[in-house]
Amino acid sequence: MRDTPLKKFESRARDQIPLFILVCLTVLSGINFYLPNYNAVAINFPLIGIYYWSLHRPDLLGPIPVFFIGLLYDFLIGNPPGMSALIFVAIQGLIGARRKTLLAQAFWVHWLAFFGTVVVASFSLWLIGSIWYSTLMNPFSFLFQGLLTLSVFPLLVGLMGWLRIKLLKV
Amino acid sequence: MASKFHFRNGSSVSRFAVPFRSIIQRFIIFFLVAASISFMLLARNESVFIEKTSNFTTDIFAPVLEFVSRPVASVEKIINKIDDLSRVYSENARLKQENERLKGWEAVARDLAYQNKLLKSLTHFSGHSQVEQLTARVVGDAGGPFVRSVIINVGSLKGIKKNHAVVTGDGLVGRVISVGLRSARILLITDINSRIPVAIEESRDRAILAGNNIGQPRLTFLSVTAAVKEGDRIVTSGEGGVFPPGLPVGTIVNSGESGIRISPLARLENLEFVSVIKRDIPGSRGLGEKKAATSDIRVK
Repeated sequence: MRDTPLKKFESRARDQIPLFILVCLTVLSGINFYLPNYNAVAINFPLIGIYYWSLHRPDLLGPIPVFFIGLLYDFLIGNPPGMSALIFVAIQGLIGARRKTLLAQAFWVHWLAFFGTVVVASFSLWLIGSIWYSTLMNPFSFLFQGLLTLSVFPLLVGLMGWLRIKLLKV
Repeated sequence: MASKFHFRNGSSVSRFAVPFRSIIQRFIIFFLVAASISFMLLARNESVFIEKTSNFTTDIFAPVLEFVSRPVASVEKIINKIDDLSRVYSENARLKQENERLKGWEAVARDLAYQNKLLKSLTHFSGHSQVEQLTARVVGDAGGPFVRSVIINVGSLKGIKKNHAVVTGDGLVGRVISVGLRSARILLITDINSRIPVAIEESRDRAILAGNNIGQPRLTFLSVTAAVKEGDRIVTSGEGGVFPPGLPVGTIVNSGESGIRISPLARLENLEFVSVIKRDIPGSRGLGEKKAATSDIRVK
């Protein structure tokens, strides 16, 4: 039986859910939570989303959308444009290469793998930032940003997992 | 013939297609990495294309940021109100004391204003150009280790231009670094790229306030003979013409071996509304505007 146009539209809309969630996470990075000293160590929300969807539904989140999410993040945050795009695309490539090993693992292994991802991303951002500004940037901001991002990982992954099952059925 | 047969077979097609897709995928990743680096290099060279794209993106997302940040701001207001209620008696006593002290200052200010007016008329002093202030809401507060900047909900349609100074009732916040039609980005005084000509209010010693991405920017290029002590107020010196002179910036909190650090008067962590000082900046028109705007934001 052939799908009706409405069914096709619904299916296409569902396929955009990972991208929509990533855009939401990027916008979330741009708002003020009015927490003392939060801004210096603001959570890198899109990184969690990119890790999750690259692992679970890479068919719905290719490198091109990830690149544009990185650019959007840079433009909204005010980072040097292209910096996060570069890191996000590279991280997606790395996760894609380890996907089969990671998929069947327990949650704590995922968390550990994300810890590795955060270390790579934070170090790369620190290095590129230091070159960009021609000065050694304060590594503690990157360290605390990484730790905060790591701490909200279970919550966001739980939420995205629930959305994946409810909306994408897989 | 054999190869044709294999291609009609589904499994054989996938045997060829999967590696081919993998090669394409890798090529795309390399292409995107190269594109990211190109973006960074273009931005480093202050490309107009990057600036326009950035302003366009901020313009599109500013209403979204405003919509999303309002509930968070409301929660913050409620928390602040509860906090204020708990301190209402002590705050009242403090305000009464302050009021008494300010009454004395009011008399002094009236006297000085009269003297000032008299002296101006005697010397035919033309004074500073008239400035107009525009209140804006902070819709985006960028976080992260790189930048200290915020996005406001007014742009060139309301007459905002690059390098306009931005203040709150407490003191200087920063200056406009990029302007879209309906949004603008403000570089805070704590940002690593921020360099502001300032003076110590009492001694009038000149210096440059340099941001360092932490809460307390440093005073640099201060004369070795300058006498500074903790608690001294810092104001803008007006040098270079970007900032109007006399805007309160901060107070000295540390003047030890590690340098002189300033605590900003404006509460940069909790900005909700700011005022943009719309003022014609000398020598900042046309091409010159871009040069004036960008020459001092690079870290030297």
